[in-house]
Amino acid sequence: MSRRIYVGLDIGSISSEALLLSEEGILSYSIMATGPSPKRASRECLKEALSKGGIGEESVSRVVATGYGRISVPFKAKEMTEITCHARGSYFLFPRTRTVIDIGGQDSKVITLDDRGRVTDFVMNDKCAAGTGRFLEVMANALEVKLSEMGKRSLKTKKGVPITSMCTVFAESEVISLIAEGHGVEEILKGIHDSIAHRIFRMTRRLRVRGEITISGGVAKNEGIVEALKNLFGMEINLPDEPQIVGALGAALYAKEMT
Amino acid sequence: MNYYLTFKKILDDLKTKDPLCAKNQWVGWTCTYLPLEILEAAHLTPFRILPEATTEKADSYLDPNFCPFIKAALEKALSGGYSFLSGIIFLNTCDGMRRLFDAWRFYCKPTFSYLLDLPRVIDSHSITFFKEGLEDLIKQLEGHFRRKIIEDDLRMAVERSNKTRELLIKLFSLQGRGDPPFTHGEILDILSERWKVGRPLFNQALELFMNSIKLDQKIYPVGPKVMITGSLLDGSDLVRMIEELGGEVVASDLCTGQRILNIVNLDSDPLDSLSQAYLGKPPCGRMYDTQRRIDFLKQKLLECKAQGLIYFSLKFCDPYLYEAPAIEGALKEIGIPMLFIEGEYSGKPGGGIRTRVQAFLEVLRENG
Amino acid sequence: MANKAIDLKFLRKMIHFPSTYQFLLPFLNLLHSKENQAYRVWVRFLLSTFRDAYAHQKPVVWINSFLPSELIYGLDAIPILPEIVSALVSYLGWSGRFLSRADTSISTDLCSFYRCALGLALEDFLPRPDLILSSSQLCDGANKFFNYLSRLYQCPHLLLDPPYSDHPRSHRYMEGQIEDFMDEATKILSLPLRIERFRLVLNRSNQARHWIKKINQLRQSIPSPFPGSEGLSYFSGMTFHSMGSPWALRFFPLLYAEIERKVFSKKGYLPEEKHRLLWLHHVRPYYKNEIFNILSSRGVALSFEEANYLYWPSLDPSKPWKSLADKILSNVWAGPIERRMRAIEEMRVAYSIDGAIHFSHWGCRQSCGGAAIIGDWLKEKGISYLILFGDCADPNNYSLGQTRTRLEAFIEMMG
Repeated sequence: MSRRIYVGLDIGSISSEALLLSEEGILSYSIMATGPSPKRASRECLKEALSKGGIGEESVSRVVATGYGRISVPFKAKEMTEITCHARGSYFLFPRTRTVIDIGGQDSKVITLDDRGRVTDFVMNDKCAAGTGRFLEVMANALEVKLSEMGKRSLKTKKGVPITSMCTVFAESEVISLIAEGHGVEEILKGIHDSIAHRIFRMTRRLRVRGEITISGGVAKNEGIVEALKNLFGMEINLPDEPQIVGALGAALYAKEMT
Repeated sequence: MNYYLTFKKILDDLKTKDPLCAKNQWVGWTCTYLPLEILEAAHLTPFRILPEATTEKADSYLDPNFCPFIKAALEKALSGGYSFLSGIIFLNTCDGMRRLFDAWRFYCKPTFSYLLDLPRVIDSHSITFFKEGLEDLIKQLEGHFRRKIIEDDLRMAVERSNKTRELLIKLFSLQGRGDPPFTHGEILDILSERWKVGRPLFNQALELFMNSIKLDQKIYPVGPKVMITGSLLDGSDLVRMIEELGGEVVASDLCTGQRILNIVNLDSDPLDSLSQAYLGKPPCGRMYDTQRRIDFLKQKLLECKAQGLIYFSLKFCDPYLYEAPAIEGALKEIGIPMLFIEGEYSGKPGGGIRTRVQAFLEVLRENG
Repeated sequence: MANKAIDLKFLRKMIHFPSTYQFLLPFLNLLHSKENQAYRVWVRFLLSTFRDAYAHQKPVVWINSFLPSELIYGLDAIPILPEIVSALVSYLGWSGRFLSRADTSISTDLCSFYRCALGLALEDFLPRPDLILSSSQLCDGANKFFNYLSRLYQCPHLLLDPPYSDHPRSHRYMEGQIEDFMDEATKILSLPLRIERFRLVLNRSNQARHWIKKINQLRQSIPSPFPGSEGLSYFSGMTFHSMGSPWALRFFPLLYAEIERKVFSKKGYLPEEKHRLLWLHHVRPYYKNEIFNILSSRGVALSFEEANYLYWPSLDPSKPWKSLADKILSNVWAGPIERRMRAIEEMRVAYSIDGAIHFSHWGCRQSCGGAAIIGDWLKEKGISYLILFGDCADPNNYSLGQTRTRLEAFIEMMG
């Protein structure tokens, strides 16, 4: 009898991930830009993950879709929100997780879990892009720094310039005027990261944060933000090896558990 | 010469010399419709809740569409910035204040808190009703702080607060004199010290200050004269920006400005006098009567020969936002242009506001 | 563009033309099934009210929600609530053009019901008022907004200013205000003050109140017999607009009978009911949206809504001013938040609620300002709680994706 393969598909606003899971564990995964068609992204993402794992499409027993594009995935058995999936994925990787910070491309969420990994509460940022991947992208552009280098460069300095505006548009002009005033790029970067971390920190205040914190989502790859969050919470934060696939992992776990 | 620093130095010197200063029992207040005389008659020192501008906003306790001043106040309260207060008094000024009253009680747990009803109309019934509220406030204060508020103390408090008002009226009249000219922004900075100290100390410092500065009588013309109106401003940054751009702010209809200069005429019943004087003071947008506010603004604009009005509304401030078009229309009829600004509660006004103020001043200059 | 202008002109003419309503009546009756007689009464009530108002059969008085309409029926005038008109316009999908008309004069951060009403006023789509009466209760914007409208229409504006505190002195003050209002209003509208008419109107209001109470008791049944989405539309609409009129006495008993039939046959409005939700805040989005479908399709019932909580005591027809003052001041959303919490607690128990959605309407400070406190408190009691940000009349403030994710995650969380 062939192996049973469970697929989690996380179709986000900016990037999409597919993850293949068997009884033994994670087999393979893929990450790509979502592009204009979530439907096409879901197909291609799955295809790539299958080919990476050397697995034929026929072995897939179930697909669970998540992310904002979950509705458009044609071959799903079920759809679940990224909130529940990020919680599930984080709990699987770090079983002592009680709080998950997920910073995605267009929104950020803080989720609290009970000791069985079930969501007990969550907050989501409001409709603006402040404190999300999109916000970082805009800032990287304004500062002419590569997105992937923002974190490293910001760690080079101890003191950041405070950024007062949280609205993406206003913060962008503020950053530009800070450059004009002669502040160093590193200091500004640190300021940006601190302000995002603060925003997240504020979101958590109404939730009861206890136990371990795990961070997921693409923005977790930015060392500067993770560092700023550690300082604010005054504790270590679990960082998955590949934070971008936590949502897809959660979805795959649900696919496996479905009866 | 920096007038504000001169004043600050006088005030600080007095503070260090005053042995009673450290023993003040502070009670917070949020709205200028509260007759502070009542607190002072109870030997309490009023402390105005006027937080510093902050980017940390109490987002998780109040929705994003909420008054930025209220958020800043709650933020400061939550982080322990007001823990020295022995109590706090709110008024039902607006939705922001009412919700701040709720959040403050739930999350900061003050030992004494009270909300005083404030009518929106002014007539004999509302004056009586407001007075009855003041009586109740007195009862609550007496009960909690275990002291009696006697009429003589109340009369004395009114006299002292009238003294402050007289001094401030005189201070505002000095604007434009001297070399360099004494500006409205500096006066507002001096006034801002008022909220943080006891009244006797402030009165004394202000008297000393006015005796110490020698200003010549001559007034130098500066630039277009503008008046500013709104609820409150965080510090003098906006006014100073207008001045820096060459405008002359000649009046500030703000509750952090000239709206607090109402003299209380003492009658046989001091509470009656307070009720009448406070309800009748220059109107905040939260009062009902738009026409009264229009009439007041028109008169004030003519009095101080202002060529334009800058109307500052905090974001999400319903009373000021809804009233703006009616006021703009009425002023247009008498040929006075109005610049409407909707802003945050954050020290520095942004670049967009700067450009609009500058353009407004240019228009005034060309037409004047 | 030219087309649109003609269109608007034609529409305006139609709307001010009384026969339009005669003509519309039979059509609108076809829209709903035979079972739904209460709904049809509501439609007829609206059509006849607006027909009479446009024709100025009687003086037209604009009021806002939470002002007892008994005041106006007692004077034998026609009450019009611009807020309800905005909700209807939004329901019909027409709010966009009126909102953008208003945006030229007031901030877009203000309440969309008022923004839409301002647009309607500027385009002259509303029945012109002879008098505007507004109450400052629960909304700082109301009296400023209505004052601005009174300037546009050049008609008198009177205000009731209910105090914050529920104290005997507040009741005295409120009663005095109503007395003063009656003096002024009868002069302005040249109507006689007929106490016996007020007695009749208050009696009617009490009868309607009796039926509302009975409906609310029926709605405690499991499964939920009546959808909250409708509770927030024509049901609450009638409570705001028809108290004191004969229409209320036709509407509420019919609705009661309809719900009773459902309860009797043990049929809920959903095929399967997994959760019972309480909807917090008085209004809901009225334009086309997916919120209620998402909830229904996952077996989540909107069992009750804060808006229909019966807060006022029975009125005493022999003391109309005092009774109406008491009605105004018994409003649980005014005053300290503990009052609102006590009411919510009562609803939580009575309706076997296991979750609550607080719909935070963008322009409303009154309700949104308490959302966090109520949430923290409900969560302590083990109630799942979601603050849903949105807008009730402006579809531009609605994002399907965001709303769906929040709602679905909330439902997943409830299990």
